[in-house]
Amino acid sequence: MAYEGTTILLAEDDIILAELYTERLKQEGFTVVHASNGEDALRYVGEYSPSLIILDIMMPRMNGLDVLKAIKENPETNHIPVIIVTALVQEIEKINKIMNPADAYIVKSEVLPGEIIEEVKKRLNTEVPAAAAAPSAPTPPTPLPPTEPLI
Amino acid sequence: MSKSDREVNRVFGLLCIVFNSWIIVDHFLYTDYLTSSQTFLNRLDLAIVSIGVILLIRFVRIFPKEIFPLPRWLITLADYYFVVLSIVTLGTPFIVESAYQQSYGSNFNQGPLFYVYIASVSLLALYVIAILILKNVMLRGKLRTQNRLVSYGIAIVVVANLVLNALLPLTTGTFAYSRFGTSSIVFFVFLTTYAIVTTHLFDIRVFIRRTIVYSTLLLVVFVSYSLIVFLATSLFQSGVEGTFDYRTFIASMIAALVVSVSYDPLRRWLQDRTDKWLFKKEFEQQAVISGLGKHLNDVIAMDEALEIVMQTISHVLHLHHAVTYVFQPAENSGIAVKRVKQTGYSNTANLILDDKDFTLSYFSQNGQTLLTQDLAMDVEREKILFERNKNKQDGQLVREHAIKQAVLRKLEQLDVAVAVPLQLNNQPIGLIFLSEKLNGEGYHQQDLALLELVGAQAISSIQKAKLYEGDQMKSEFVSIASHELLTPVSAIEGYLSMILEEHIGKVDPQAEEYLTKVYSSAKRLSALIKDLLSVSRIESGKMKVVQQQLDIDKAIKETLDQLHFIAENKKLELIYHQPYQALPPVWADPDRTAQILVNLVSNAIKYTPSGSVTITPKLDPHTGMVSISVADTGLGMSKVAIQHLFNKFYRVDTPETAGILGTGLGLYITKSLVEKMGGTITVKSTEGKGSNFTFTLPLFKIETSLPSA
Repeated sequence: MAYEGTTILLAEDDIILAELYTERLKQEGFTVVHASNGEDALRYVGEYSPSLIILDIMMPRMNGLDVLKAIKENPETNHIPVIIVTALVQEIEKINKIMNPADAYIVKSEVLPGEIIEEVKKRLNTEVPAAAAAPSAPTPPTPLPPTEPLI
Repeated sequence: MSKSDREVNRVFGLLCIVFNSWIIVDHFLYTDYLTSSQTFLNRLDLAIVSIGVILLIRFVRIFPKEIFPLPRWLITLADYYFVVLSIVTLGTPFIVESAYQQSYGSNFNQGPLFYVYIASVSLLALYVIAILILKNVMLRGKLRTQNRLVSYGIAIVVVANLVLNALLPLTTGTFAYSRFGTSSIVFFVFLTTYAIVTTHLFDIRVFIRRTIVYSTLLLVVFVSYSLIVFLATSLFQSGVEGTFDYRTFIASMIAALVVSVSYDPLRRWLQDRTDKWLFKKEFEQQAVISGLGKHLNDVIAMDEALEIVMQTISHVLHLHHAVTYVFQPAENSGIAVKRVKQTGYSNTANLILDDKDFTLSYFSQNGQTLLTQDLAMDVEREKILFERNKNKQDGQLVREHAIKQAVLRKLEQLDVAVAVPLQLNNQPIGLIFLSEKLNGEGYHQQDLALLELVGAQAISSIQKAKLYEGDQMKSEFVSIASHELLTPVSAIEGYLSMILEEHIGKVDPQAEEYLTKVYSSAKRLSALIKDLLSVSRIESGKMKVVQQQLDIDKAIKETLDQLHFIAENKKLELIYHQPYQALPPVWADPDRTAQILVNLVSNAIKYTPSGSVTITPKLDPHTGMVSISVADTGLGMSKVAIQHLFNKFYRVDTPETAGILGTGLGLYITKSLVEKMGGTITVKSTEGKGSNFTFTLPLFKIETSLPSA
């Protein structure tokens, strides 16, 4: 399969939902590393160097927003695309500030596993501009509009 | 002020007026320029005394509190007896036959019933003395001090007048010393004033006012009366002393007329003057209260409201410090402190009252404003009482005493002078503690009246804040609950979509049919939860609308992309009337606009069995709005349905709509969102022909974006 050996970090505290995503991702050939809290998630980013991160916001110990900040502040990890999958929509303004064009924001209850897979594939196929090649004037973060209306 | 307090005040006020009238009439009696009316004055004098005695009895019975109630009929009988007696005295020669001039003033010839009068009055005077003595023995504490001071005054008046007006005349036959009887009132005035000042007996100004108003009135009445009578009689060249003739009668009538006409305006004028002079502070306090009310109206947060209340009290009364407790129900139907707000305390550690503190239970049962000094006296009195009867002690009383002691200790520890419990329908909702005043003065009656009003204001603002907080909590609860519900629903939907849409795994056709139903139910459930979440956000004011420059054409196209499959499934035509000229950008939140469009278009698809759904955006240059209409060829609605259409949970209920699923929240949410962005939504519909929903959005202008830039 096309995605053999591509590691995806899944940070999700709900076990059943995590199993669901893991199973679906594995079917596509991805290697999935699951973290059930924010601290683990951040540690696994360093340990496994995932190609993509699926990140929940409401998580124990360290919330997803702080994990996202830490990933984006670290020059070694800030190129990794992040798909935020969350039930929460209140934090959208804060998230928008941190995200870059390679990242996506998805509301958990509004997407089906198949759609997440689509999103993952799209993110992995997008050319991520290298830091050096990036335009000198930083483009403002314009996250993709969610596929469905937000609440 | 309690009902019995008011009664005491009323009787005492009347008593003051009668005493004053007596002094004035007596004065005229012993100065000899009013010779023609001497008989009348003598009769009036005695009539006033008999009214005075009956008031005096009433007063000593209920002051400072009633301890031996008499049967009603007896009181009424005595009242009537003395009213009749005073009428007889005033209007007939049975008691005062006629008056004559003596060297010391006026005297009179006794009528046949004179001794009945003297006996009745003396008997009652003795009864007054008896009550006073009994009360002095039985009362304790502050009440005793009050009673003692006032009763000394009354006793002096009664005894002096018994001796001078009854005993001496009866034994020696002379009224020569009667004139000193009224002077004894000075003692009464002095002692009562002392009692009022030292034991905040009652609001002295009320009595000063009444006394001034009515005494002046009486004086004016007498002076004008005597002047007119004097003028009239000298005009008619007549006036045989002490005898009745028609000229005196006519003069009296004229005088009475003049007096009665001028009485009321004069009274009002006097009242106005004395009010301005005496109640100046009260007027200021009224201003404070109304100011406080206005101030509190603008405040919802409890902390802020309490701050305002306490700042106002501290400022008006000049206090060292103040603290307010707000209660909440606790276990075992008790209460606990929910919030503490203080001003002026340097050490706040002591302010904590835990759930088991006796202070809480004491003030939840005693709703009256309490002065610490009163509680201290009460505790002292009980202590003595317990020491006296060491052997037979009532457990309940001992317990209450211990609680009072504990409360007193707490009040003294916190340096509290006054405690104002806040109760609503007998339910304790809070407590205000106030310190001594900066100038060391005690709390006056009018201060306590002010506190009562401020307390009422505090109660209503606490209630308001509680309701608001409850509302906030409720919406937060709905919000969290909805999020928690969404996570498992997402898992259900996710697995079902893998089975039914992605066909991963093998399923028996029968099971697949069932699962399809489960899937559609799960979708409905998640839609309902999301709608509930939206409603709760809208109603708690947490729905954020971030308006920006938006291309409405693009937003419509995205919506149609999203929904065209559903329309195709129903074989409906989805038409977009794109305007020839590109529309200018609107000022709207992209996500909310998408939500509105999806709601309206999917509704139109839902309620249209066949035909088309047409979206038409239009620019209205006059209003500066863009209107977007969503028209269908569906079921349509009745006028009644349209009236309720935007209400929560309203769904059109007709045989045609029976199978269509929905939450009844979509249009309510849509309308709220449109209005939040400054637009309006309207609907036109014909039953059987279709509906047309049109909403508007404001145009983007350079100015509208400036404030946020």
